Amino acid sequence: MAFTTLSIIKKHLLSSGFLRLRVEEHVVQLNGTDEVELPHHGLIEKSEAVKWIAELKPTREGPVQLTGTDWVSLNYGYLVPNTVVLSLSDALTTLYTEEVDFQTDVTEGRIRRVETGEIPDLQPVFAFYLRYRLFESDTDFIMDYTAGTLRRVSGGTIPDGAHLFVDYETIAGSVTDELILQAIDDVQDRIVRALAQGYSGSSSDHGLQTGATLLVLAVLARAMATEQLARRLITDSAERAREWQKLTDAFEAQGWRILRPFLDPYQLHSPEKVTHA
Amino acid sequence: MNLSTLSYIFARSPISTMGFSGTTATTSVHLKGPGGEAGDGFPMPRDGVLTGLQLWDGSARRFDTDEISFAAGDRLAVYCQNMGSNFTVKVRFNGVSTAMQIEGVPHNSTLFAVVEFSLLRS
Repeated sequence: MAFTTLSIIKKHLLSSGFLRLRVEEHVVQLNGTDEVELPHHGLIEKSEAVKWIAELKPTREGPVQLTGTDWVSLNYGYLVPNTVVLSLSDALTTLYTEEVDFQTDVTEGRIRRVETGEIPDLQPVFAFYLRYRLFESDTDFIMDYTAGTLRRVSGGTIPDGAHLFVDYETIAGSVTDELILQAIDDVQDRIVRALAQGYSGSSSDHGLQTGATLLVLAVLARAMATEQLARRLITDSAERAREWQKLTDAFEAQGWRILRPFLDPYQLHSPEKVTHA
Repeated sequence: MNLSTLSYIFARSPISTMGFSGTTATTSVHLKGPGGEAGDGFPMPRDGVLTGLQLWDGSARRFDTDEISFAAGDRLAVYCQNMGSNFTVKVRFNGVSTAMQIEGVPHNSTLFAVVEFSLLRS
């Protein structure tokens, strides 16, 4: 039995969230009912927002009282980023600046004071903002989560040829069970070859499990780096591949550090060499 | 801060002015407005915010600022109220004085007043 298991690795992948990637404001044009390819595939179901700015003029809302640094919900979510302006009144003699005086949660449609800003505590303000109109999945558009494609539904409310913004979340790489199991086998083999006397592949020390888990994560991260370089041409592929590689190095180093007490010191310095000898 | 939102809200409530003038004696009087008539007011075409009063009495410029909302149809006037030894010049809506006012304006002077306000496009 291996030191780590498929379920342990999956639990780490899901809880760490490091494989989740949120993409926002990706612009697409939907012509007819043609499929449009998004920059990623393997999208997380129901994570998408397909939207556009349907308003010519900003929405005005208020007075909204800001208390402490508590979030206050506005009437709408999905605000257009960097369009929120707060004023003391319609006279506009006092305007407040985003990030300096207040912060905005555009997805949830919330604002809050910045403690060091100019907005007094308990101050009622007026908010002006642009907001997105959201389209309905299946009624207005069809998204293929696996393939990472989007198309317009004929008869829906999206006009033919419309330019839209798309948000979605994706698994930042394609981690299959097969890949995980293969990584577990490889790591198990590398560790067993380097074990000190008194330990074996059936040892149940927790450190062995933790170290093996980290090494498996390193293998998966390396696979993600490779995939980034091989996948669709997106502008930040190389940068993201480098980030995956950094993660690989960090997992690898941490894994071997935890495993050190269980390893033969003569093998410890070159476990890779032993594996590939 | 987004310039399109800012541009919109500035365009939505442009600054407007109305001039009033008159020669005073020692009794309370409305200043004459555009067209030359003195009275208790010009109807405002839209909702808005009264933001300022500037006054020139021939020797000194005086002013007051505030933020006082008004509604479409409210009648704007400038009233010189005799306080005994001088006037208090007040902006009025519908014949009722607002808090926008300037004290200590001398009797027997020729006054030029500019009322500043914003009209809201929607």
